[in-house]
Amino acid sequence: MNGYRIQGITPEGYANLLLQEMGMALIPPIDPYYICTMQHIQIAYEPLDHADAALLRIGSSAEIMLNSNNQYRSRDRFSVAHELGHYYLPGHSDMEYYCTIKEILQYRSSNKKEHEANQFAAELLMPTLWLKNRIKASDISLSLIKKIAEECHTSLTATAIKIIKICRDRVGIAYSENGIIKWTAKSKSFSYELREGQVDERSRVKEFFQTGNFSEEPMQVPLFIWTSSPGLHEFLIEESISMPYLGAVLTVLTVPVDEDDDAWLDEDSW
Amino acid sequence: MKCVLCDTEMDSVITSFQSKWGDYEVTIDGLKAYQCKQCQRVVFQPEVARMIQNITAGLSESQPVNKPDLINVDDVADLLSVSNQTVYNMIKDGRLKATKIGREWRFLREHIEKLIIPEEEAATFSLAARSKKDLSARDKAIIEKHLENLRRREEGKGK
Repeated sequence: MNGYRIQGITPEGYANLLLQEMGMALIPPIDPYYICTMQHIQIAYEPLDHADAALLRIGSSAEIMLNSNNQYRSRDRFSVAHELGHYYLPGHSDMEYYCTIKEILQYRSSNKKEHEANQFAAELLMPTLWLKNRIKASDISLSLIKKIAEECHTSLTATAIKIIKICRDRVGIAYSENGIIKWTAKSKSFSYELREGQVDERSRVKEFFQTGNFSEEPMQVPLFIWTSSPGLHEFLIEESISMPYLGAVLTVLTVPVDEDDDAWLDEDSW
Repeated sequence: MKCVLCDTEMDSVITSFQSKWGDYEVTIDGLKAYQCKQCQRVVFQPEVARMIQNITAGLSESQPVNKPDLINVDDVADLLSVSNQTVYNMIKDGRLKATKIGREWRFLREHIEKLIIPEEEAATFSLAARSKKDLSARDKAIIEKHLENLRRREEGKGK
């Protein structure tokens, strides 16, 4: 069905259908290797130069190949789930897919099929129903994202993006490389426009790119250093973590919550 | 059965599904499904979803001569695995031949398919998430070895 979608079923919907079909509980950690075993999809390791994971398929026989030179071994689970996305999603009927670890780890790709495979993988490993319950009673913070990433055995970036897609907190994330904000994402209720480009001097992220070191402690920063808002008297809480293997920093930005400010929270929106 | 998103009981319903095929839409009626009482989400049992997939797969795998000759920007973006904006950029810089009908761009399917699948490779490779030409000779040799094993496995199934 290359290029043709069944309207109404999202990549996340297909991931849920697969979990239901496999009779798997929607409780992480979810084992994508088990799915491969049950579906007779082989896993192979080879020392590839220019791909980190690949799906090969001929007729009903399929194989997921992982790069044995890959230094991010702990990310293999997401890679396997991502390739399962290519295997199951309609419109992904190509015989071969080659994916790089950056495409997979950053969970953001301008390539539509890669993006869909990431959405599928994130739902497979972090089912929305479970995740909503998991974050319901907590404020979103870097430490919560870290805990959930550990529980789901997923990358921080993939976990952060999945959480902000479904949370009701006012939270944004920024991914920076070499002192440049490469991309940003935000929750529905985060009303400010996050900016890209040079990291502001007043952010701790700048410190990391200048010295290779910085504190991961939360810090209050002026709103305008991360957003296009000119508000001089508004602030964000900035928390960042370095990802040395990618030469990157992931920053979680939250709007401080005033007690008077809770009126906007609407339980019915869940 | 409960909705996987909001954990609410679902009703058994009969519904229909629409699938796009170029400029045409195909509707499949009479499908048994479950609908969430709260979020109205509709889900199908895997066998029904698979049946829908098989029907729509049949459409997309039909011979080019049976497919609509004219396709739109969304279809081209799907076929090339690029964004709609990239398609517009490709029209602008002349890489894609397109005709404006009213306010909408239209493309000849034949032109687009020739663009993505060189004839000599059409039988072997289709457009991948990452182009095969980006791989090293060693990668290609490794992958070819694994594809050969898969081919043998597939042939073994037929015996």
